[in-house]
Amino acid sequence: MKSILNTILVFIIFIYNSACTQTGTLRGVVEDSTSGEAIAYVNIFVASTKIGIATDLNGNFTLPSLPANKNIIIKVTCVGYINKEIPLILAPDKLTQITIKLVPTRYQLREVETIGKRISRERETDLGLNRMTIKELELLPQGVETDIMRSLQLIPGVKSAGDISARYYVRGGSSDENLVLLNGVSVYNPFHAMGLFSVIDPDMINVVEFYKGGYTAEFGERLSSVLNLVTKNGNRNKYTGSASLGFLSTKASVEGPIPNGSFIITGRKSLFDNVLRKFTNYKDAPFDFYDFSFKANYSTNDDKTLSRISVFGFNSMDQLLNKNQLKEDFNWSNNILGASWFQAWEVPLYSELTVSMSNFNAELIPNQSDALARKNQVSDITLKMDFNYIYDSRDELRVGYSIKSFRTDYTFANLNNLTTKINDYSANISVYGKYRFLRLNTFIADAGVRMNAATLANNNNTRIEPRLNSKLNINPLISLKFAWGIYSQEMVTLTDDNDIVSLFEPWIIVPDYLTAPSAIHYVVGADINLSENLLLNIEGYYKLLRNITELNKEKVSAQDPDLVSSKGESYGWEFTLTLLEKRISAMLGYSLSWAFRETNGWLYYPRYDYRHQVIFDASYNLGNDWNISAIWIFSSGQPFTQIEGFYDKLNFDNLYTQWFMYESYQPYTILADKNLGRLPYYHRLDLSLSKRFSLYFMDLSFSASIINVYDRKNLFYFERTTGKRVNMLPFLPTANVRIDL
Amino acid sequence: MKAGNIIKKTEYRKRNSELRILKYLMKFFVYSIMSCSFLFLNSCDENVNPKAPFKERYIFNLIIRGDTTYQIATLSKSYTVTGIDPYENQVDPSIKGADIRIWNNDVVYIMRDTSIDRQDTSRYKTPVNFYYVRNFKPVSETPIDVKVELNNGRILTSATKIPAMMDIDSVDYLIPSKDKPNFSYVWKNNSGGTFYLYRFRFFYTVREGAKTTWYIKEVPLTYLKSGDQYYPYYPTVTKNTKVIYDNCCLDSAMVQISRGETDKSKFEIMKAEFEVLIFDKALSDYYSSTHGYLDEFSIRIDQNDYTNINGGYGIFASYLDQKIPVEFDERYVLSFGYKYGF
Repeated sequence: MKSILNTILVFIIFIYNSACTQTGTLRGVVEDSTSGEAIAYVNIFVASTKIGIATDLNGNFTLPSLPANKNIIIKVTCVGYINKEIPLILAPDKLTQITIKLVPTRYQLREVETIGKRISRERETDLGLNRMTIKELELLPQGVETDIMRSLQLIPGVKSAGDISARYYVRGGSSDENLVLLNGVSVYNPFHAMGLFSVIDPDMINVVEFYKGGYTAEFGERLSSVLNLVTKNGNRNKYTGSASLGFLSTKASVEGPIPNGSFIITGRKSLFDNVLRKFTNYKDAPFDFYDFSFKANYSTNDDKTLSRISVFGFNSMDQLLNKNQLKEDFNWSNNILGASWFQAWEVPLYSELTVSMSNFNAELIPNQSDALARKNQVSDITLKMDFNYIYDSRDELRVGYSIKSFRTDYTFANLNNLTTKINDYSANISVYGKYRFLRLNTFIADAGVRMNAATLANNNNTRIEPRLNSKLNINPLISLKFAWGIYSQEMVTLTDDNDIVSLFEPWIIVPDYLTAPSAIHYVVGADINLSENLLLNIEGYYKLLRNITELNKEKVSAQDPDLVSSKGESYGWEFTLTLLEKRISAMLGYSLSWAFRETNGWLYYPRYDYRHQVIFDASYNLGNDWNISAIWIFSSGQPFTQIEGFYDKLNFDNLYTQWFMYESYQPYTILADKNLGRLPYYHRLDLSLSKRFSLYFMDLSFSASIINVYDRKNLFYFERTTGKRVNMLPFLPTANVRIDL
Repeated sequence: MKAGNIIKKTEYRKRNSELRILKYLMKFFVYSIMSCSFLFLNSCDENVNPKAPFKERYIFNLIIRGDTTYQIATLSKSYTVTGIDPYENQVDPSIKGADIRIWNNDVVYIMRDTSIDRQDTSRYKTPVNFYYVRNFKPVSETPIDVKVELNNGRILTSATKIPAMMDIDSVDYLIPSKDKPNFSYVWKNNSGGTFYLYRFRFFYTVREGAKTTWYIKEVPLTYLKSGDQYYPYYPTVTKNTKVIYDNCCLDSAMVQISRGETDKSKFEIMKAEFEVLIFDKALSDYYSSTHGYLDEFSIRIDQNDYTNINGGYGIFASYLDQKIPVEFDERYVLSFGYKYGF
């Protein structure tokens, strides 16, 4: 009898426990209530279980193993949106799909529920990752144009090539080691007007993710950084448009609903090139550029599945036409066309298939000038597929593959006026798999491997690229992080690092006589919550670069190779203190870094080796849609090569008439050892004031900025022949007006 | 407590905290303005020393000319200036009294130093110093060596090889042709890495009474348009081994020689030639390094220097001169009213 009672008791306890542990899975997408645009990085927090997660780049989230048959409250918080609480009862052992619409708060950008933010942060392996929203970018003083790539230079560890360039260098890597992805598709020359501005119009972008090192297995192709840009899907509720007029360009965008979907079209055209010229030392440069993008989506969803098909395109074109046969002309363009199919299946599985084409064309037409003819065509056709499965334990398994067909044609007249063609056609097949260990709140990890089954470069020794990114949450206030990874790169640009402004940066596949470059990243870090709204982030890194390609400076004959191999090393510490208050946001960043290169046995500091860098940016919401912001940047001097002396060098053009005596000689600089000198400190303050108001049916916004408020004479370079000092940007006030319909 | 009171209290606290922030901001603003003013007033050009310690270097230049037996060399030293403008230096850096010897086909030639008056005295005031040798004409495809011994014992050496003469593949000896709108010259590159400089000229005389004067007219390769104007474009150093002249360029040159003259019969076209200078490899490489012009907009801060002088800077190289005589069609010359003198 006793044993029967015991059996019944055990059975009852079992049934009770089973009933108690009944769980369901919640999957959803978070959208802007006014536009239907997906919102990334939204904090989803289940108060009763203390489980939290953030939405992905497409606004999706999945929360498995939530209590079923019970009232649960989903708290949804996001920067710039009114917080929302959703009561739910999940069906047991089933996947429940919801769509959450958040109401924007317009300029109340910093109204963040800190608990939600902290929990989502705890559950990310975000070492080396910076995220930005376009709304945050718009509040920064930007000079004449909001520019995503210039904004990257406000992140410790990212160095600039100077005021006049949006090009950037990350943790001791050169500029061609940075991958720029637009909807997952590579952009090969993301700059307008000699690198002054990026081709990416912020109006078309929804999300910006920037990895400055230690990135995980889904990313390949480059050694130093990944800039992942996702475009807007377009307004799904109503037709809207915007137009803006700035000192640099005029812009317009149109978006609206289509059956089961939406579309967006944006365009930008250079306007007043005389303002643009203030950024350069060429007062008669005939700058002319435009860019254009579109995206259309078709989506269907039921209670269990979600499907979205997107077609997107991007085109940018730059021209410098002198209209003079004695001067050279230039043109360069990027063209992207792609389609993707995103599917959320009945089980907690996401998949995405993307087919894309990315072309880059650049041409220097010398006419009858002394310039050397150059033409570069890049054609990249890629098919890739990603799968993401979420386990009940909340762990994730992500696998994917990518097949890339790549062609480069580079035709150039070398210094001997001999036309050389470097044509290459190859394919890369890579697969990756990674496991995200997310089941514990105290320790999370993202471990994976990327394998190059077929390589673009014939001589790529890095077939397997293991990656690890992990985080240990010691307590709710302190997290420790570690990342490690091996990376390879098979496409490089033929760029001379002596060119501080380079108009032409052709892409080629690493030639057979060189081994493809590779890198190893070691990154450690810590997040320390000093108070509810004050976060200190510390990161230290060590990066080892092997087989880096450099232009052969000793090439004088056609037989000499164009590239030589070098190696590099960089290490440093970065500190970021971030304050997020209701009206005030501020960031104080400091980086201490070293970078070295070794070419042909010579060890030197590359031009982007800054020892110290301090960045302070702050923005304050004055109320009534007034906003004021400031940026102050300080950095220690860049390396430069000092002058050892001069000599009178023999020059000749016409041997028929010259006698190689006094008339043939001009002073020439003898350079000391490479980059052993340092330029003076750089510092600059920019201020911006913006106001937004409604007028009839329009939303108007006005912003005014001052670049280099105290007119600091930051040295750019010395002209070698005359010794003339050339400074960077002077005091420069600018303004911008924008109309939203 | 009533609900209204709670709201009022909350609002009061909120306003109070905003006022506090605004106070802080005002302070921040005032301090910022003061700091900016200070920085603005003190933001002058910061002193930076772009120079490393000076080291004396020696520069030797000798380009053996194939069109003469009189060869000239220069020898100088590097210099420094107080600032960074090299034109500040007004002391002639040339070096006299060095022992310079050239070896070619087992014959040694010794160069002598001399000087001539300087025409342009804007920088250096003293006479131009140089070294010379007479009766030295290079022989194609022979090696040639040079040794320079300075008074301080420093030695500079170099070697090169005189280039090969070119083999002509096709030539339009009689121009202009009735059958085609241009005339061309094609030759073979007999030594790798060679550059060429070519020109097409015709020689004519103008008779004024009893006096006859010889003139030379070079035919441009083409005409370029800049704005509304057309400018003649003459050949520059090239690697190409083929050149095509449009007949219209010759027409234009023929018309120009007598522009403004009513009596065309004073002009007599005497001869024409296509002339090519053939660079050796060292001269080609040196030319490449000095003409590495990128484009109008790129900025290169560190320039590369090419030299084949061991122990110093400069160039030791050579070139040959090859001429191809051509004839004009008689009817073509007469059509301009000129006399035919070939």
